[in-house]
Amino acid sequence: MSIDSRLSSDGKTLTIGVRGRFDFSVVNEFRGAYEAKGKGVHYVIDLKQAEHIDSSALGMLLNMRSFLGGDEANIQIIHCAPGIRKILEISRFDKKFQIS
Amino acid sequence: MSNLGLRNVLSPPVLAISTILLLAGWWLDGVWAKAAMTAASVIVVLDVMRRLREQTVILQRRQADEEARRLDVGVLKEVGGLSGDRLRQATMQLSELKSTITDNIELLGKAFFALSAKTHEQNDLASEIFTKVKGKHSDADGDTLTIEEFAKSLDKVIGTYVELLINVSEKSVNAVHRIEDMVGHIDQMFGMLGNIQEIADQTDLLALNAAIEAARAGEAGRGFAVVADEVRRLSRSSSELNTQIKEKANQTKVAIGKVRAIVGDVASLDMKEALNARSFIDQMLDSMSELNAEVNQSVLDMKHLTSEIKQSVDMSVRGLQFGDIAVQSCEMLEDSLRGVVEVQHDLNDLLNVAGTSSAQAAQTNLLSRVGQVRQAAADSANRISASVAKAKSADASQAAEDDIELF
Repeated sequence: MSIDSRLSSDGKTLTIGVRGRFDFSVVNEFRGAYEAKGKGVHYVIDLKQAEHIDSSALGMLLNMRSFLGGDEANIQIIHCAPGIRKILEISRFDKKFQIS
Repeated sequence: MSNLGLRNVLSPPVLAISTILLLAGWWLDGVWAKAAMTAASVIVVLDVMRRLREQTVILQRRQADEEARRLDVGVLKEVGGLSGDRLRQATMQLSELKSTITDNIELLGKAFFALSAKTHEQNDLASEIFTKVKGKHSDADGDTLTIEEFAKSLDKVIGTYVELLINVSEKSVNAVHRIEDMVGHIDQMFGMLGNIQEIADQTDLLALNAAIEAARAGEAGRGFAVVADEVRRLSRSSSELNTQIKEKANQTKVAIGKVRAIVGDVASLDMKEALNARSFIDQMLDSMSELNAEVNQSVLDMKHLTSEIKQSVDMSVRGLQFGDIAVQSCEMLEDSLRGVVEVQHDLNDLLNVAGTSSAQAAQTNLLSRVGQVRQAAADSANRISASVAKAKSADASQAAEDDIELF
């Protein structure tokens, strides 16, 4: 499994960790990770172990955001490698997600 | 020449002795009187002879002196003639020097003024470059596109491209999600088809049982056996149909899988190209701003240099005005030489009339000339030092200003 999701002990934060390639191959797993929990939770996408992302990952993140209510969605992307961070920046994701 | 009087010819003691002897001769008689008279005569004659000898020596000496003086006057005339020539030569050389200085100063002045004008032009050019590099349009129409603006437009284009790409990915992933939903439905359909198969199998089994029961009933069950057979045939048909549906559903699933893969491909675009393009633009902008900074610095340096050159030129032009002082000095030197020539001329006149009655007048003339020349020299020296002082103070006060004031 290159996607793992952990719910915090208080049940308010769901951390979705991506390992290896964050691309189309994980589209279902990734979708499953947030659709199961739905709205009302703070989501954290941990890219600490992600090696590469492509536009489908961006598409997945945007679909996740739409699914969670667009501007209402509370999604944080953490542990971005410099290359990944650059991609997120040129895609202007810093305006839609909290990136750190 | 002194006139020869008695007192001059005879010395006082000789006069006294000879007078006494004459008185004694007059008073005495005879031999003594003759002796006294004779003695007096001898003394007088001897003294007169001595005096004559002396006068002769004095005359000879005077003659020699006169000759010597005449010789000195000759040498002086010779020297005077020579120095007169040299003075005329010097005057000529001086006027040549003056005209050379004047011509060259004029030439240099023109050259420096031209240089000053050129530095102005250079400064204007530098300012123009500065403005152009900074990207401010000096022309009102604003047609020209600066490199910075070009880079910004390119950046905007890439931004739009990235946005489009992400939009496509978002839609594609959304489509994939919908396809997944569809696949889920198809999988549910497969489950239902399994149920139908089960029903068909059970129906088949039921029909088989009915056929067995009909056979056991013998002739009476014959009709029922026909029904059971028909039911079995129907169940087999439905089983066949079920298999066909399954097959088609499978094909659909495969097709959907292919669609999913294609949509997945559409969604999965490498962001590297966009990233590279973006970082290329960034690099371009960075090098542009670096280049701008360098050009700005260079232009500033150039402006600085230009103003330094202008200062140097102005200083040189002021230096040339000291050349005017040199010309003034030359003129004063000419005046002085002229004075000396006049003195020399008067001296020559004096030498010409030396030993004659007009010598005194010539000497007075010469002395008054010397006085005039000396006064003129003092005036010249004062004028020169005043001029230099004025120039220096003007130079000092001009150091802070740009314009050149001629003095």
